[in-house]
Amino acid sequence: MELLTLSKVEFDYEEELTAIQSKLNSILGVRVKLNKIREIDLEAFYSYDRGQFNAAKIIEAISGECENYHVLLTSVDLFIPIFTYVFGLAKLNGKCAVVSTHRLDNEFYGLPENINQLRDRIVKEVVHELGHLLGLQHCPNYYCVMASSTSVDELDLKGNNYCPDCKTQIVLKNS
Amino acid sequence: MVQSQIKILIVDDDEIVRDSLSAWFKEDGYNVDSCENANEALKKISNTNYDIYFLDIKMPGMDGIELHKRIKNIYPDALVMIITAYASVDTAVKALKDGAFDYITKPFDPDYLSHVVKNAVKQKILTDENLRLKESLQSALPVPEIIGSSKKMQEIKDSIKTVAPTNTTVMIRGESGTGKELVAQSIHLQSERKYSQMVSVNCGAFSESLLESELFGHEKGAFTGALYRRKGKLELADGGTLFLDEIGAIHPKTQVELLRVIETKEFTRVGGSEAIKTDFRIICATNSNLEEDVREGRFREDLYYRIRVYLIELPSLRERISDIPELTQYFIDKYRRKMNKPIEGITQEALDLLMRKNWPGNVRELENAIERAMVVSTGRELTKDDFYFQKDEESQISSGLTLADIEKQHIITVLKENDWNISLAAKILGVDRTTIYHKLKTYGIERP
Repeated sequence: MELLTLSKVEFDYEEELTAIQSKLNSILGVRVKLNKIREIDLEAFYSYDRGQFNAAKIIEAISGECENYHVLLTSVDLFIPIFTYVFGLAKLNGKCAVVSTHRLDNEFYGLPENINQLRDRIVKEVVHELGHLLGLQHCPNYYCVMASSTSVDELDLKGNNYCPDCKTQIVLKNS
Repeated sequence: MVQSQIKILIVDDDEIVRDSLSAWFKEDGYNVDSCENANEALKKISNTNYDIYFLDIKMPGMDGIELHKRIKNIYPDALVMIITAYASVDTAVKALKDGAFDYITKPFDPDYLSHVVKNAVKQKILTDENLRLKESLQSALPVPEIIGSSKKMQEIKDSIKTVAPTNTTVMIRGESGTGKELVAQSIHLQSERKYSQMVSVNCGAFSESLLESELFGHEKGAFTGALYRRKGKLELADGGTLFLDEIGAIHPKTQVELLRVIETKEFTRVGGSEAIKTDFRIICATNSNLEEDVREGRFREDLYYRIRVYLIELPSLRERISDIPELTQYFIDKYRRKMNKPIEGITQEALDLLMRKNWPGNVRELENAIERAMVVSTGRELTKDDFYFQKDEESQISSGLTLADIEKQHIITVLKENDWNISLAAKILGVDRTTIYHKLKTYGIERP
């Protein structure tokens, strides 16, 4: 597998980046590179009607700059036109994905902050979106990181790695 | 059922909605198709039966509500989701009333959409499973065979086929032993109610109070001996068919109560006050002349007209002698299997004997005669000598006796021969026990 690049924009948890990088290294078995992309102004993707940022347009804007698999971390609230929110977005078999911490943070739900849980959730979302970039669809196995999760409860329930079936598919798709 | 087997059709004029929903469902592994208007959708539907439909309400040309109706006309079990904007929730509610499975508002909450789709898939799996179970049950519920190719029997079979799928009350009239209950079973098993039971009540076999309790059930303590609450046949027949045999024997008070139940589908148990709703189809049978009973005030006219909506008159065996060979062979085959005896047919001479006989007990009497003949027979074919009545064939009847005298005399003879065992005598005479009791009363026969 090629290197995975992590970058950030308006990301509120910079001090967690190294821990996230190290966790991803051990799960994926590849070197995860922390990289800066050019300064992008997220305001261009802001919807005044919805008070959120358009995830599809963000991916479109950075896709020209992605040499290998690239996941952009942010803390702004993301949406796509048909959905009220998304935790993250990736184009199937694409190069770039975006993950938001906005709705992964317990404080969004009026609960006390739990940084360990937040870090786990971010890692799972990054691994999940990377799976889509590698051509994986959602997995019916509840414990696989590729299981569809539309709530943090479902996100917490699943594991942080691919199930054997998904791993096999990655090998087949990328061999 | 795996997700790739679930076929989803998205119909929306907004390309973003189509593409985004398609991508989302594809990520989940569903088989997704989409189109931008109702006409295109109808073309796709004519070739493919989708499992779940997502229809936008507002589209140029035919709107989602109309398309929903068209889809339901073609595929009544289709699961349709209506896509609407917040402003048109009222329309979505209308769609739900018209049978849509659910509705989703734009933009969709992914968590809610995920639940809605999971519910729809669950519903689809249950519907398919239900259909499969019904089909397998269908093969386990063979419709009873009505034997006979005579014109009269063909008419009866046609009548059954016509009335069975309806919910109409049926009255079956025929002499004892002509197969009234068999016809009732055939109607029940060809109706929509076949998966529920047919509950039979022989109204002639109960006294007034017992019949009331049998039909309506009773509460604990309703009368001496009512130690427990008991459901009546009306309650047990809920969703199915209630077969009331010998309807003419119902007492006047019970007639009033039965009429009320038929009209309101509601009743209370004996000794109870709770109104119980029930849904059953009534099939009645009688071997008496109900019109005469109505004229003489023994049977309520309003009840008579309520139950005599569709009349099936079963011919006596005398009226369909041409069916005797077919019936005979049917019973020989039946008892050959039961008794494991190598009897395969009947001699022409014996068959002629059967065709000359009067058969007051009709098919039941014929069946019993053949069963008895098969017990005593030692050959591969039933012969004239195997039938107990052959010796009497040339009639020992004195010309001075009336038919009633002969019947009375014959009943006494058979009872004496069988030590006044009513069940045995009924079997030999080819009638049921209640008929024997009725005849004993009519002719004033008393056990010595």
